[in-house]
Formats: sequence, C-alpha cells, structure tokens
Amino acid sequence: MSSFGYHGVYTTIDATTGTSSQSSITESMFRRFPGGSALGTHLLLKHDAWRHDPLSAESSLVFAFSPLVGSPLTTSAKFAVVSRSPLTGRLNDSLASSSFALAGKRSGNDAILITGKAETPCILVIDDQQTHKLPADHLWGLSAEDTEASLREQFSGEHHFAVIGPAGEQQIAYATISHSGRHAGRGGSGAVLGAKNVKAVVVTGNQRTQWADTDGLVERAKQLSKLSFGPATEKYRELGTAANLLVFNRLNCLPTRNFQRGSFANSEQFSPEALGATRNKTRSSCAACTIGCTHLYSINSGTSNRNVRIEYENIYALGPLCDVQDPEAVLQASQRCDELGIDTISTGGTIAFAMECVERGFLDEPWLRFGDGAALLKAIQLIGTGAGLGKLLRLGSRAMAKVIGHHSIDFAPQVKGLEIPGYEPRALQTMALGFAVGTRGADHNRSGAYEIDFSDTADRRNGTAATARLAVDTEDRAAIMDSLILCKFLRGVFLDYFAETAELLNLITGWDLDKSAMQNMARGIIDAKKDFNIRCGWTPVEDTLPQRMLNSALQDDPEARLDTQTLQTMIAAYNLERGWTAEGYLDEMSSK
Amino acid sequence: MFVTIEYFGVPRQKTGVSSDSLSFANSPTSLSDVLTEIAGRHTAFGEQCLTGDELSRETIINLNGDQFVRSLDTQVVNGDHILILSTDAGG
Repeated sequence: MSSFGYHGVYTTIDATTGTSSQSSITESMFRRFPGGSALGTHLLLKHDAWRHDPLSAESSLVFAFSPLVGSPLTTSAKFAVVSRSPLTGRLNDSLASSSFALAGKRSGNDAILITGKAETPCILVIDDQQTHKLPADHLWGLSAEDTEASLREQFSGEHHFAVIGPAGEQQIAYATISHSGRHAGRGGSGAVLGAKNVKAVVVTGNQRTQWADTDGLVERAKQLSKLSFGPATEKYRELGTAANLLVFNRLNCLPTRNFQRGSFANSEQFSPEALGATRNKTRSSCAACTIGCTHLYSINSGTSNRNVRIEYENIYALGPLCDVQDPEAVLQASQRCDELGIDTISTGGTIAFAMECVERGFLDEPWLRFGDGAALLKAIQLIGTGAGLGKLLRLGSRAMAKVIGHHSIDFAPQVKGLEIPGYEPRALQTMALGFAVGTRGADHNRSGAYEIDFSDTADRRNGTAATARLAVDTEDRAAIMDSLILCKFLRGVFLDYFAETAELLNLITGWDLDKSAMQNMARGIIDAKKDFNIRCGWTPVEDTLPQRMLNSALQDDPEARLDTQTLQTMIAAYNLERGWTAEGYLDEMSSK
Repeated sequence: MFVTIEYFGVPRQKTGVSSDSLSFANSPTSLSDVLTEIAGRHTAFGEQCLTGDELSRETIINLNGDQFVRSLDTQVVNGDHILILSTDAGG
C-alpha cells in the first residue's frame, strides 16, 4: 500500500545477520497510529516487544517517522525512537529532530525496526529500502559528535546518522541516541542500540511520498511559518528554554539540592542574559524549523572550542539539583554528558541523589558533596568509565537506591525509574499528577500538565480531581504532537489545536478527520502506551511520587504540600476520565 | 500605594529591566490600570502585552508568587508584587 503521506511499509532489520524484511502497514492502522510515538508503540505491541529484556538480542527498537516529515510544515523534520526502556522497564518514546528524519523517510520507510544483536560493532545502512551491515570497529569508543564526523567522511552528503556515544556502547541505563547535536534523550534508548552492537544507523534514499492537497499544504505551511516568527515562539527564539529558570526560582518550584528545596541561591547567574554576558553565544535551528530555539554558549575554560547547547532541563539537573552554583562547571558537565551520550536529567538526578546519600552517611564517598562543581564533573567521568562509584551511578537513581538501602528510595528523584524533570511536584500539583501517571515515568514532554498550574484555571498548590481532568487534555495534545510529529514549541500558535492538527493531517493524507477524530486518536494512543506497560507488568502502585514529595511541605514554601490522599484522588479522576478503571487498568487490551 | 512589577523572560527583554516600582493614587487599583502604566513606560512591551482589552495569549501574570490571573479587573493593593512572564513554561 502507498497512500498520500505514507510509504505504507516498515523495514525490520535483524542486527544478528544483517538481513531485512519489509512489512506493510494498513491505512486503518495509520488512522489510529499516524506516526512517531504512536506508530512506534503500535509496532512494539505487534512484535510483542514487551516480552523481552530491553537489553537482550530479542528486544526491538523502532525509528518511526510520520506523514508530515518531508512536508513544508515548519518543525516537522522529527523522528521518534521507541523501545522498552532499560531504565524503567516500561515503554520509552524519545523524539529528536533534523535531517535524519528527512533521509529516513526518503529511504522508503515509515518506520525501521531493529532487532537481534550483531556479533561485533556494526553500522546499519538503509538505502532506498535496501539494507547493509558494515563494521563499526573504527567508531567504537568515539563520542556521538566524533562518530558523526567520521561517518560524514565515509558516506556521501545524502546520508544521515543516528548514533550512540560510549555510554550506549556500555549500555548505561540512560544512554541517548544522537543526531546532529540533538538527542533522543530520555529512557536509555542508546543502551538498547548499544546492546545490539549497533553504533550507528545510516539512512538515505530518494523515495518521496505524495500529498493529497499540495497547494493547500503549501499555503498552510506559509501561514504556520509566519506565525512561528511571532510572539507565540518568541521566548524560545530569543532566550531559549533557559529563561524558565528565574521564573521557576521565583515561584519556588525549581527543584534544588535533590528536591530538598524549591529555590536556588545563584539562579541569576544561570539566566540567558547572564550566560550570554560572559560567553560567546550562537543560535541554530533543526532542519525544516523556523523557530530556531537552540542556544549555544562557549565554555571559557579548558581546551574545548565547541559551544554547548543549553536548555532549562540541563541547567536545572546539573546546577540547582546538585546545588552547583558555578555556571562554568554546569556548562562543562552538560558538554561531557553530550560527549558520553547520556541524558542530562537522569545524570543530574542520579548524582544529586548520590550526593544526598553521602550527606546522610549512606555512601562513603566524601568527595561527592552538594555544590561542588569539580565533584559533579568527576562523577560524570566515573559514569563514563564505570570505575568506583560510577558502577552504581550508571544504574540510575531507582536501581541505585535498591543497592544502597536505608529507605533511600524515599528520596530517589524518580517515577517508574525515570528521573524527574525540573518541576517541583509539591508546588505544581497538576504536574505532580502528570509525573505520577506518565507511561514513561516522570516526564514533562508527554504531559503538559504544568500549563494548568501556570494558569488561572487551577491553584497550583492545591490539586483537585477537576484539575486532573484538565491534565488529560494536555497529555492528549502531546500524544498528537509526538505522533504527527511537530515540535511542542509550535503549540502556542494554534488557536483550535485538535481542529487545526486535523487539517494538517487531512492536507497530507486526504482524510477527513475532524476535531473529535483527533481527540479520539489521542485517547487511542495513550491507551496503547498503557496497554504496553500493563503487558510489561505495570501495577497501580507505580503511579506515585517519591515519599519525600508526599505529606510534608516544601522547605521554602510551607503552602506547597501534597498529601497522598490528594494525589490518589487526582489519579483516580485521571483514570476515570481516560475511560479506564479507577485503578488505571484498561477495560480491554486491544491496541494491537 | 506602591506595587512592584517583576519582569521575566520576554517581558524582561522588552522592558530592559528586571523590575519597576510603581505608585498609584488609589488602592486598590485594577490590573488594567497597572498595565496601562507599564505600557506607557515600556512601549515595546506595551504593544505586546495587551490584545485589545485583554491580556495577550503570550503573557501571563502572577500575583505575589501565588495565584495566576488573567482578568484585567483583578484588584491589586499596596505592597503587591506583580510577576509578568511569558506563556509556555515548558522546555
């Protein structure tokens, strides 16, 4: 089948043998799972990926594209990486941007599924639906950036690469997959690829899909591009996400010192204005993006001449969360994470947890103190080598707490094993719900519930069943955004989100979806993710927060207190709003 | 009465300051009057923060670090801190 916007096929590659096969995807499936996270989840269910250890040869990892990829719609050059997570044991869907998505779609595939395990390090090449396995011994040990540089010499300019760094090779539980300075960062998809001895996936091709209404699509694309230059995206364009830091600090919702506090003494030094005052600053964009949110800053010390990309989340996790007040140390730490190929949020969360364990006398590593930038850098180095404490740190905070004992799981900053992003749950209680119920764990990208907290529709420090119902809508919007796929930074330009995204999909595919159909599609996507997790062994006890965040107030905001009963009430309301049982089970599991 | 305005994100960039201290003859005073005063001081920001008689979609306001408000009829009193920030907290 080949219809508008789709090739109608996905390729399965067995890394063990290098052989591949093609399978068709029906239009009826695309109507339920249009691309990206949704399509990846569907394929994992179809291949029973929930049965297998994510680091086993039998596991599956999907690169999923979407009908919008290759279209003139701004921010649409994105791909999803979907697998079972080695960090959480649950579904993991991470997104990244740029030319890999465009070339992957041109390879003639709507998705690429990788299974098996190569005997030695390899490169998998997908070229116009043909696949090859090449040796990667010369790349093993290289950083993601150096790997891509080497591959650019080996292949033509029409080839694009998704690669792992040393962390993926060593199967560190929160290793990333990288492409052109962007990362499918959360949940350890890099470790899944590394466990298969796949250092790089290379895509190229000349197969293009048709659009149902080209003139209409081009006109709509022009409108969206114009809007993307406007005030709705100005914060991202002019300042970057780092601008969040001062706001969160002022509202006492900036997690600090492993969630012991909600504000940070040196926050002004981390503002985009302060960082830019003492450093060279450059901006860049992903392919096919008109927003240009990427802000890179030079590092003033050391020998590196590479600028480092700074986002709110890596500043938060490597700065306030570890109480490190030196921006230079945080920039260096962020750069080192990129070189190793590890998720900055999980890295910072795990190190902050270890720092508190030292403080409490549970770990005999006296050098690892809150606020010590040199210790932060040393800890990251140990994660890379696996020496000493690094052997524990590379497990992530949940698994580390199980080893340490002393009820340290109570202050391990994670949900379902995924370290919590920079939103203090006690001060942002709708977001607290979003974290608790998230299918991939604590996650600000799959739930936008903080938007409710940052509005006049809710009291952010008093979560209720009513706000829980509003949280469902933000999760549904994200499910569509992550499946079409469009950048979330574009969301502010839509006035009638579901109706307008239906229009975009209709222009590409020729379908006749409306607002209601998109809302139903979103519900189906979330159901499929939950279905996968239930098959993996999910139970309701997983939908919670660390004990630290329940039943006691935030140290610097006495009004920020979340009771267990309140959270449970919100979770039940959320589950019922989704049409599940109050405990969170699907009435029937039919997502396949 | 005096109120303190704290600017974050794009509003800070547009105004070029991190805060203002404003005085008003009457207490309480409406948020509408406060924003009119701010718009007079900071033209570039003033053009963006209001859409007609409403707060623009791109701007959000918080009172004293507690509640978020959108209604321009909201009354502010002596000593209030008005936080003005960009929409879309995520990232």
